Amino acid sequence: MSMVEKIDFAARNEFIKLIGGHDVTKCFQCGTCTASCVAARFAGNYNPRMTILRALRGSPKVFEDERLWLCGSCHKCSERCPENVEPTEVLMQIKEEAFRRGAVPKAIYDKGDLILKTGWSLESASADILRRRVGLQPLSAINTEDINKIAKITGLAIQTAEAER
Amino acid sequence: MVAQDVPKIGVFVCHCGKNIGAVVDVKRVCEYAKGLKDVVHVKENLYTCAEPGQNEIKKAIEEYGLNRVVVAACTPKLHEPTFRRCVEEAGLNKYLFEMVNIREHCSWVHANDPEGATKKACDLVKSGVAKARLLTPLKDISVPVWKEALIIGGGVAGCQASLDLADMGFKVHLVEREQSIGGIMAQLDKTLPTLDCSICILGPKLVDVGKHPNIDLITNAEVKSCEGYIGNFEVEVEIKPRYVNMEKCDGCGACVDVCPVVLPNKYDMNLKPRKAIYSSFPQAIPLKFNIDIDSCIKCGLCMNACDKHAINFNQSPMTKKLKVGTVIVACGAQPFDALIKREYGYGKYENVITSMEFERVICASGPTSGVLLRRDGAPAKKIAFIQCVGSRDEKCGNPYCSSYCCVASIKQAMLIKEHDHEAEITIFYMDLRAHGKGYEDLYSRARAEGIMFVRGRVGEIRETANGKNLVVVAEDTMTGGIIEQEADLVVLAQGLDQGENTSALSRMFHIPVDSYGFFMEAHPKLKPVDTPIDGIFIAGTAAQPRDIKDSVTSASAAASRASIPMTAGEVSIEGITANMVNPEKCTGCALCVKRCPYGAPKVNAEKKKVTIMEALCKGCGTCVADCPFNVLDQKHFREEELLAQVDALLEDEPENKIISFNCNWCSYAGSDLAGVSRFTYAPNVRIIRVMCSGRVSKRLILRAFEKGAGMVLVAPCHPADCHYISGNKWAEERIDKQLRKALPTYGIDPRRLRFFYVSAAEGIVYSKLINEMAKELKENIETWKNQKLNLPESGKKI
Repeated sequence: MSMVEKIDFAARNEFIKLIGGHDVTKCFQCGTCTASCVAARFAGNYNPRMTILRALRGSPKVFEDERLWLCGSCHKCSERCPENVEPTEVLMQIKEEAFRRGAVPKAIYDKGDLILKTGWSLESASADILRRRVGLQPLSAINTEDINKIAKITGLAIQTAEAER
Repeated sequence: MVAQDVPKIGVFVCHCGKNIGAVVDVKRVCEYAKGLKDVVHVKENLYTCAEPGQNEIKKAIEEYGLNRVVVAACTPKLHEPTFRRCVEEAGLNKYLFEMVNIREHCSWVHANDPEGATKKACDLVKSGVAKARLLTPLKDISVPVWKEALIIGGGVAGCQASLDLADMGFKVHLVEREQSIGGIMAQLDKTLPTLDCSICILGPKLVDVGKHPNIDLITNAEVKSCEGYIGNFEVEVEIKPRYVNMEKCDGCGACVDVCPVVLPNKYDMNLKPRKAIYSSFPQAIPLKFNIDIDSCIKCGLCMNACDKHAINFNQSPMTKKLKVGTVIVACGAQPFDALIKREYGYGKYENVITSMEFERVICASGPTSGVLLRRDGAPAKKIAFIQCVGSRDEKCGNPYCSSYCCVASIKQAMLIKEHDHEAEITIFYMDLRAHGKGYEDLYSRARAEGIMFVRGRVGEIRETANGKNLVVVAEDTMTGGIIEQEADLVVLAQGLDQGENTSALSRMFHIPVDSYGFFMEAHPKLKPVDTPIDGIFIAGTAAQPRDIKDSVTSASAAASRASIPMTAGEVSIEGITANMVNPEKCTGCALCVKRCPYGAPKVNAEKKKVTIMEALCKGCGTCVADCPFNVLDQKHFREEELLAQVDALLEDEPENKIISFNCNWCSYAGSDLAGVSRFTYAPNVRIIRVMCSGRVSKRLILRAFEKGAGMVLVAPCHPADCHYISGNKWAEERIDKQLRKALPTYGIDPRRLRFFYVSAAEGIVYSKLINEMAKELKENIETWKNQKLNLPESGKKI
């Protein structure tokens, strides 16, 4: 892979449009986000500052980068960003675009699918056993109809279906 | 009061509460002082500086007819002025007072050794008395100040300084090299951070200068010579011919219309034409025309067109003589020559332009009426700004940051955005420096506008094969990748170089320049607009790269500083100057002229003799120490006085003593600080105070060795910190190089001479140094004591 990059102003402008209300261009690369990031601390070369910079340079690789999904949306970066860039939100938008482009790791699709089907983000058999032991009712089923409606409106359902195909 | 022939010395030893008294046996010191020659009265005080203590001194002067007073107490830096005033009130000349430092240099640093401290205090008093015996009354020099000022340079700084002084009521002579005042600011389109029109805010100021009754505006002229000193500078200004009679010309412009010669206009960075008869720009002040005689074909059409008969081809240069009391140098800086950075292709690729060219191109009155066009007429859509062109670059001799260019490029990028919001702008920078009021806001707005910032210095610029576009290559240091960015226009953010006339003016006015060629301030923090030459001030970019606001600020500051001596009407100069004591021996070798950074010694070409302009002398004594024929001496630090101090200090046990020559400003203050900080050190050091290490002659050092001193220390200011610009440099040359080399031939181990820089903040350094020297002395004392000296005959040139 060549080390040489080009700045793609058209892609950059699209990205800025994508981010919408957030002043992502105000980012002056101070690194507060990465310094505050729990994921960056434990996950090798995950670096939210660099992700935002690559997006601002118009690099298409940003959306294919699986490391994006390490963001746990804890919002510490948004809390601390001196320029109100709100990196969590920016990353969320990048993730959504990645979804639209179908460039998402399989595990993430599986997770989406589980939520659409069960309403839960993880399947837990042990939870019911535990609940029974302490005299609680088993977990009631979740109305996935509403979730699926939301997913349909936001386009998530179509994308997961497509991905499965 | 003139000193009588027979010295009658009074010695007052201070306890300073317990500060001195708890360590030094003051009674013993008093007893010792009583035994010294010419001492007629000795008194101890609990606090000599307090009112009762001072009264005792005054009373004793009267009662015992004292004609010299020695106070042994704290550092002279604290109370010398106090006691000078005190003896003056008693009718004694203030220079007949000598202070002996037995607190900072004795009790505070030898608290662990009362015996050593007491012995040292006795020695120091003896040294003070020895000097006092030889003191002569001196007069401070009072110089009248002529209440007119010369301002060199009519850029925004020169104009501001002129207006400020003129408004205060002083007559101002403003000399401008170009035909119009206005400087670089007149060429700019907009100013930052507000993006308001440059000429719109400058124009009215220029008009004010042109019309002010107190301002004598001299354009198209250069200062040719300057003689004199604060209050009394005599300046010659050469006015170049315009070939247009200034009084007759009314600026109608009829001549321009008919002139057939077309040339590029320098004001428009040569991007727009002018005629051979021209005025640089419409708002020029004075609005008078001017013939470029080298290009004029003398067709005479302008003569016919001018109904005022203002054209005159017979004009010749004129010399105007001025007498001024103060000078403000505001001769500006010049944009860096971008041709030097060959890798950026300026001059080779037509779409690589400089920031100054950009200003004209984006300006509504510029060559393209403010539309950002390339030389081929195509609109520029993708623009790259390259920062630090001629800044932070040792290779091209400018290691400094030019400070204005970051924000200037942001401003220019914003101007492009104002014209064309779709423009794709990238700014390549190393560090973005936007430190002024409102500057960060400008930077912030620029990012919000979508201007791209890439942190990385551009390595090279290439032209594309077709279309004369450019490829800018830089590392994106934020990602570690290399960026190759195509642009259709590249703007090189030029740093600022020293002004074209800086070196000539530096020689003419004896104002030193810093290592980058800009004028040097008297003090970088506390006297930022004063030069080391009294009565001469600096404003604007002549001192350092500055933006408009800082230039104007410095100009108002310089005007305010210059007004002080002019308002007072006279200045007083301390009487410790160099003077000719043996004028008959002077051969006019001019070594003193070379040593003096202030231009005080002058060689009279006819008589081949030097004269000292005492008003220019700052009293470092460097010329005195280096005079090969003992023609010169320094008042109050006379060779005889300093030799007497050396002799006195080395009367007993010389082999065990270290003589330390400390410069008043750095190492003396440093040794004071060691005292204040209670850093103890060996008590066998004896300090002699000089104003500058440059004053320490070879003879003084050799005398110390002759009298048996174990070691000698010369402690100057750090190399760049000399209070007298270069005194320490000459001291190093004379002592650390020449004398050190010669020591073995005199039978002296060179290790016995130390030359060590100590700043006013390095109390700990001084105390460690003395301890280390004392250790070395102890180890070698037997050998050194018995060294057989083979010194040159006294009085002979060393």
